[in-house]
Amino acid sequence: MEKSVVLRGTGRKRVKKYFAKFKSPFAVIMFLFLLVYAGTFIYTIYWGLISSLKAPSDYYVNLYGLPKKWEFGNYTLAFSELYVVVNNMRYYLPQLFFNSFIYAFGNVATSTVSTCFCAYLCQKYKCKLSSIIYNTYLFMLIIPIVGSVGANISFRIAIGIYDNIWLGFITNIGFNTAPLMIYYAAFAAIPNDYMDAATVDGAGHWRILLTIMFPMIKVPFAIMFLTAFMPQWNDYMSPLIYLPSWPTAAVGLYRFQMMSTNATASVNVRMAATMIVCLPCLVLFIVFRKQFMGNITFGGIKG
Amino acid sequence: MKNERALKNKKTDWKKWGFYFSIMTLPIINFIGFTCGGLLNTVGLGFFGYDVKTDTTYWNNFANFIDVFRALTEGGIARTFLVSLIYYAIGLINMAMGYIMAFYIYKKLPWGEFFRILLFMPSIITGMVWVSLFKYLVREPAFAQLFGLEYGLLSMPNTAFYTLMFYTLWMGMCGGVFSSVGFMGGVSPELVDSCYIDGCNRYGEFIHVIIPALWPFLSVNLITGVVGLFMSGPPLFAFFDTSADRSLWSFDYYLFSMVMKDPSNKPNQMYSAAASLLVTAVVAPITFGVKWLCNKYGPNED
Repeated sequence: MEKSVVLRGTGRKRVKKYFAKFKSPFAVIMFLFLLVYAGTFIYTIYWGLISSLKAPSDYYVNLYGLPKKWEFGNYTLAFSELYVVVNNMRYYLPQLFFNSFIYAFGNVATSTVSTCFCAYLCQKYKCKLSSIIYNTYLFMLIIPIVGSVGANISFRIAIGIYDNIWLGFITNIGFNTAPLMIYYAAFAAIPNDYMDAATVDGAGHWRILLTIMFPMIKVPFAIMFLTAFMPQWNDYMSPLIYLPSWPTAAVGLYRFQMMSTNATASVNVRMAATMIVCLPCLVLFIVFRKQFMGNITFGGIKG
Repeated sequence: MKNERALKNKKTDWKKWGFYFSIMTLPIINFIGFTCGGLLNTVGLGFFGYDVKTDTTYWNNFANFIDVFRALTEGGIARTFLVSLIYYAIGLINMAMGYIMAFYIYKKLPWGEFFRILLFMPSIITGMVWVSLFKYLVREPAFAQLFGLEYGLLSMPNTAFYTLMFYTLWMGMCGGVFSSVGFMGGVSPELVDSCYIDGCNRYGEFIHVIIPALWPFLSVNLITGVVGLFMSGPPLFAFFDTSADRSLWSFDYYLFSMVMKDPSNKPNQMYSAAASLLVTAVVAPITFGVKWLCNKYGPNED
C-alpha cells in the first residue's frame, strides 16, 4: 500500500516536472511548431506510400485517403521499369543500388581515411609543412569557387578521369576541410604521452597510428563515415554530371521521374519507385540510428 | 658515442619523414593536380574561344567575359541574381531557424529527441525522393484547391515561384540542426549556470551564451555562405530538368543547365568558366570582408 502511494507520488511528480518544462512560451511555441514541421515529413512519406498503392483512377478522386484497392502491382511495375539506359545497355534497380553502394563507399572510404590520417599528421607531427597544409585547407574553405561545373568536366575529360569511377576515388584521397577540423580536434584531445610510451616500447610510426591512436578515435571515425556515406548515397548530381556510365539509384529515380513512357506515366508507379529508392536509406538509418545520432563537438566526441 | 646518437637520430628522422610522406604525398599531389589544376583550368577556359569548324581553341582575350556581362545587363539574366538573393535570404532564415530548433533539442525540452530523429529524415532520404513526393503532391489540383487555386501549384510560374520558396524553407530549415545540437553539447555547463545566476532566462542563455559559444561554427557558415548571394536557388534541375520557366531561374541554374544540356559543348564550358570567374571576382572580396567583420565584431562569451 505504502509502496504504491510512493510510486503514485513519484509518477505525479514526474508528470508535474514534465509539464513544468512547458512553462515558458518558447517551449510551447517551439513544441507546436516542431510538431507540425516534423509531422509534415511523416505525412509526406505516408502520402507517398498510400499513393504508391492506389490505382490511377482511385488516386485522382481520393488524393488523401487510403487506397480502395491495394495495388501492389505498382511496385512490381516500378521495379521492372526503373532502369537507366547507358550505351544501349539497361541498368536495372539491383545494379543501380550496387553502383550507389560502390560510389558512396569508395568516395567515403578514400576521403574519410585519408582526411583522418592527414589530420593525425597535422596534429601530431607538427612542422612547417603540416601547418601550411592545415592553414591552406582552412583558407580553401572560404575561397568561393562558383559555377565551375563546365570547367570541371573539361578538366576531367582532359586528364582522363571523366566517367571513370575508380580514378575518381583516387582523386578523393586528400583532405576534406570540415572533417579535417573535427579529426584535428579529436587527435588534439589525445595526449602525446601515449605516443611517447609506445615509442619507448619500440613501436613504429605506423603501429602507433593503426593500433594506438586510430582505435582511440574510432567512434568519431564511424560517425563521420556514416554521416558522409548518406549524402554520397543520395547524391544524384555528381554521378549524373561526372559518371554518366555509372548510374546510381538516385540517378535512376531522377531519370524515371523525367521519363514519359506509358508504363511509367502513372503517378502511382512513380511513387512506388520513389518508395523503393528511399527504403535502403531508412533501413540503414534504423540499423545505425545510434551512430547517426552520436554527437560530434569541436572538442571531440560526446555520447 | 655522440656520433652513434646522431646516427640513430638521423635514422629515426628518416623513418619519421618516410612515414609522414607515405601518407601525405598522394593528398599533396591530388591537391596540386586536381584542386589547383582545376582552378587553373577554369581561369584558362575563361580566356579561350572554340572554333567549331576547325575544332581548335584560340585565345579569346576578354570576349567571354564581355558576353557574360552583356547577358547580365541586356539579356534578362539580371533577374537570376534577384532570385539568388531571395534564396540567400531564405538560407539565412533557415540557418536561424535551425539554431532555434537545435536549442530546443539541446535544452531537452519535451519530445526533443523524437524531433531530432525526425528532423534528420531529410538528410537520410535522397533529395530526389523529397522532390518527387513534393512535386506530385502540390501539382494536383485537389491540393491547390486548399489554397483557393484552380491549377496545380507548379503549373503557373507565379505560384511555382512561391511553392519552390516554400520547398526550400521546408527542406532547408532542419539542415543545420544535427550539427548545431552537437556543437551546443560542447558548451560548458558552468557557463550556462553562471548565466542563470546573473539573472538570464532562456532567451538570455541563447543570446549571451549559446550564440557566442557557437560563433566559430556560425561564422564559418556565414563566411562560406556568401557564395550564396549569387548562387543560391531551389533545386530546379530536380524539379524541371533543364526546362524550368525563365522567371524561376537562379544564376547557378542558368550556368548549370547550359552545361547540362550538352556537357561536352566547349563554347558553353568556356562561357560558364568566364561567368564563374566573374562572379568569383565579386564574391571573393565580399567573403573576406564578412570574415573580417565576423572576427572584429563577433560576440564574446565573456
